[in-house]
Amino acid sequence: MYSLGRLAGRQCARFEEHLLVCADCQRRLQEADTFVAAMRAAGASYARKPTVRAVGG
Amino acid sequence: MQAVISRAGMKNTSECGPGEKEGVEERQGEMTSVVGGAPNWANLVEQIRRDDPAGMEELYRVFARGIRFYLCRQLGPQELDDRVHDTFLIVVQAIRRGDLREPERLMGFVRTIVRRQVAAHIDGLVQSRRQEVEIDMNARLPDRTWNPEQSLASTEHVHLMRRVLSALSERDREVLVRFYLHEEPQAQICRDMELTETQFRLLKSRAKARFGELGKKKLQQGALNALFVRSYSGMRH
Repeated sequence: MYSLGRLAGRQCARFEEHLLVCADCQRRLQEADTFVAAMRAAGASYARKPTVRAVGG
Repeated sequence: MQAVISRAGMKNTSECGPGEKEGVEERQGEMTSVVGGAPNWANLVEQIRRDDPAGMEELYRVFARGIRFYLCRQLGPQELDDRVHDTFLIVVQAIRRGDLREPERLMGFVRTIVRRQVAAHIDGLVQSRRQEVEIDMNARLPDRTWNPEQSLASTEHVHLMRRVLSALSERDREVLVRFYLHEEPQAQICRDMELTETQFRLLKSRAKARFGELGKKKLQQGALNALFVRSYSGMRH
């Protein structure tokens, strides 16, 4: 959520505070940022489509 | 402007517990290990106030990487060392002035200062850009567009990522596109795709992993193709 810019207020503050001191979360955020950037690059032409529902479920 | 932090009741987030493996954006409540172990914030602040070199070293050990990471993420790698150094100076001076009233809030205090540094830098850029325009409305502005090589690399990257996304199953692709691109709420996606919250997390996690695997494969293929083309053209000349 933070990588997408969708974390706000107190949750965002708490996460950013922690991020300053946690190498593991820095690494994970970097991975998430890379993924989101790749998705955005890939998905520029993807318009909303009808939903694919689970088969038999 | 003084940076006075007096937010009561905030949990010290340096204590970390186990959590799911999917990614940091899923881990709002979960806190993992602090760099080299969490210090006693009150002792650390007291050491800095006394100008004890051990306190400065500890402050640097705990926060240097995180400050660098945050600034780099927000502002890019230019002049990063200077920015990190400036931030430390401001933090230390503010602590010595007594701006930090609750030592256990040190992490929040540092965050506030780092965010102000980022905001000040962005304000500075906006101001200088404005001045550039005001100085001479007819002057030619610096060309900030990509050069042809950069444009080509970017286009290739986009095409590659599109191929990766197309190669996913329709259901994997849908969950990724809806969540990451259309930014639809999880509840809505679950409702439309008839998924429970757990199924949604699992599906998204697998789709992300699949996207990553395919991306790596395509990148390797691209590198091999480029190598082949270079070798082939080398043989001809």
